[in-house]
Amino acid sequence: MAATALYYAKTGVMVENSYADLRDKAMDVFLERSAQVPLEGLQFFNKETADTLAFKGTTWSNVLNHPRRLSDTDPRSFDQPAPGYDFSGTIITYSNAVAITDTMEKTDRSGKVRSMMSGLPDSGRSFIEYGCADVINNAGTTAGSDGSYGFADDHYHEDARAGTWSNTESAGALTSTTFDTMRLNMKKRKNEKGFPMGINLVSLVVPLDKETKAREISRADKIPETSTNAPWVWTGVNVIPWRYITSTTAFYGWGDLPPAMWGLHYVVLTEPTISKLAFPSATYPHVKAGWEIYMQVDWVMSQLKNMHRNAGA
Amino acid sequence: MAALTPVNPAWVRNTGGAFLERKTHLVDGEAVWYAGAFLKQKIADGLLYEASTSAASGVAADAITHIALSDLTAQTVDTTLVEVGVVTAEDIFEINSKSAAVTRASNGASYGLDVTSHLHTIDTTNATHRVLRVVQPTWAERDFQDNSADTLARVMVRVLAAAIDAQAA
Repeated sequence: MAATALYYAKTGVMVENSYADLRDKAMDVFLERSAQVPLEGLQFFNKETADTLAFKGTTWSNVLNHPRRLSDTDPRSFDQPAPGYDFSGTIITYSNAVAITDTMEKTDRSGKVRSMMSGLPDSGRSFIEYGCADVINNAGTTAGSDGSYGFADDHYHEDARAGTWSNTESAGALTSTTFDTMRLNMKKRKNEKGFPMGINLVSLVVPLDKETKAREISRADKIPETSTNAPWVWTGVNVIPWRYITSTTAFYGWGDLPPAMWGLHYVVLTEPTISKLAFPSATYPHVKAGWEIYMQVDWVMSQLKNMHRNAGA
Repeated sequence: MAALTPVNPAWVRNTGGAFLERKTHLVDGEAVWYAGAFLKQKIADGLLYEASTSAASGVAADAITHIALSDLTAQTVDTTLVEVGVVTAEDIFEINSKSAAVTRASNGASYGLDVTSHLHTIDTTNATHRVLRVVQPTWAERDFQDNSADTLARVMVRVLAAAIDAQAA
C-alpha cells in the first residue's frame, strides 16, 4: 500500500492551518526532525573574498628553469617565471526567509514554533555543499581556466615548454590497482617547467557506492583482490566519502598541494548571514517574527591541480 | 631522449650585457602573431609584420628586426602601436629546432627560420636561406633539463646581421 501523501498549506509565512498537530491538545510529545546537513565538500575549496559581483583571479609563479654553465666574465643569462591563467566568476545573491504569525504562536501547544525557524543556517549549509559538489560533478564537461575540462588529459602547463599534464585516469572500477595507478600518476606529475612537483595522494574521495571498497583499500594489509601474501603498502590512506557526488562509480585522488593550488574556489562577497526581519511591521502587525539567510557567493574552478579523477566503471 | 614541446623564441642574454631594448611600433593591420615571434619591419610602409619562413633568394624578405612581446590579433587598421623588442646582433635567443636533435656539428652554422602556424623554430635542414647562427645547443650549457638526444631541441642562436639589416620590401 502506498503511503498517504502528507499535504500542507505552503503559505510562505508559517500559519496555523499547516500545523494542526501542533494545536492538538491530546499530543503528548513533539519530536524534532532536524536537517543534519553533512559538511563534506567545502573542505576542498579555497575561500576567496570578492570585492565586486564580477570576481576575477589569476595565479603567479616563482618556478624557474635550471641554471646554465657560465663563466664569471660572461654576461648573465636571465630567466623568468611563466604567467598564469585567469579565472572568473559571477557572484549571485541568494536568500531564504521564514516567519510566523501571531495566531500560529498563540495557538501552538508544542512550544516549538520559534525553533521551527532555526533551520535557516542548515538551509545555507546544504546549499553551499550542493554548490561545491556541482563543480566536481560537472568538471568532466566544464572548461577550467586553461580552456580544458576540469578533469582532462590535455591541460597546458603555464609554460608551454613543459607540454601538457593530465588529471584524468583511464576509466576503470575502483580496485587496489586503479587506486595505485592514480596514486602513481599523481606522484609523477610535473610542474610548469617539467620538473617533479612533489604532489602526493593523501585522500581517496569517493561516492557512497564506493566507500566500502575504498575502506578495504585503506585497511588491507595484503594486496586486495589477490590471493598472494604480498603486503599492501598503502594501508591507512585517508578515505573521504562525499554524499553529494552524483556519480556512483567515479573516485577521486586528493593531493597535498597548498590551498592556492587546489583550483577550487569558494568565492564570497557576503558571507551567509542570518538577519532578523523587521516584524511586526506597520503593514503586517500580526506577523510575529521572521528571519532571513542572505549570501552572495559563487563557486569557481580554475585548474584542478590537486585532484585526479577516475570516472570508474 | 625527449621530444620537447616547441614554443616561440625566448631572449636569454646579450653578449654586451645589455637587456632587450623595447620600442613602440606601428603594426600591419592584418598581422597576427604570438608572443616571442620574430618580426620584420618593411621599408615599403614602415609597419611590422611577422617574420616568414626563410625561403627568399635574398635575405630581404627573410628579415628579422624585432621580437614580439605579446600576442597580437588582427587589428584591421595600420594605426595600432605595439611594444616590441628590438633584435640586435648581440642578443642570444633560445629557439626550438623544427624537428631533429641538434648536435655539436651545428655549432657556428647558420640556418633558416621556419614559421608554421605562428610557431617559430630553427630549420637545421635549410642552410640555403640563412638568418640564424647557432651559438650552441642549449644542452651544452644547461645540464639535466636539456639533453643532446632531445628532438625539437632547444638551441642558442644569434640573428645574423644580414637579416637584421635587411631591408624587407
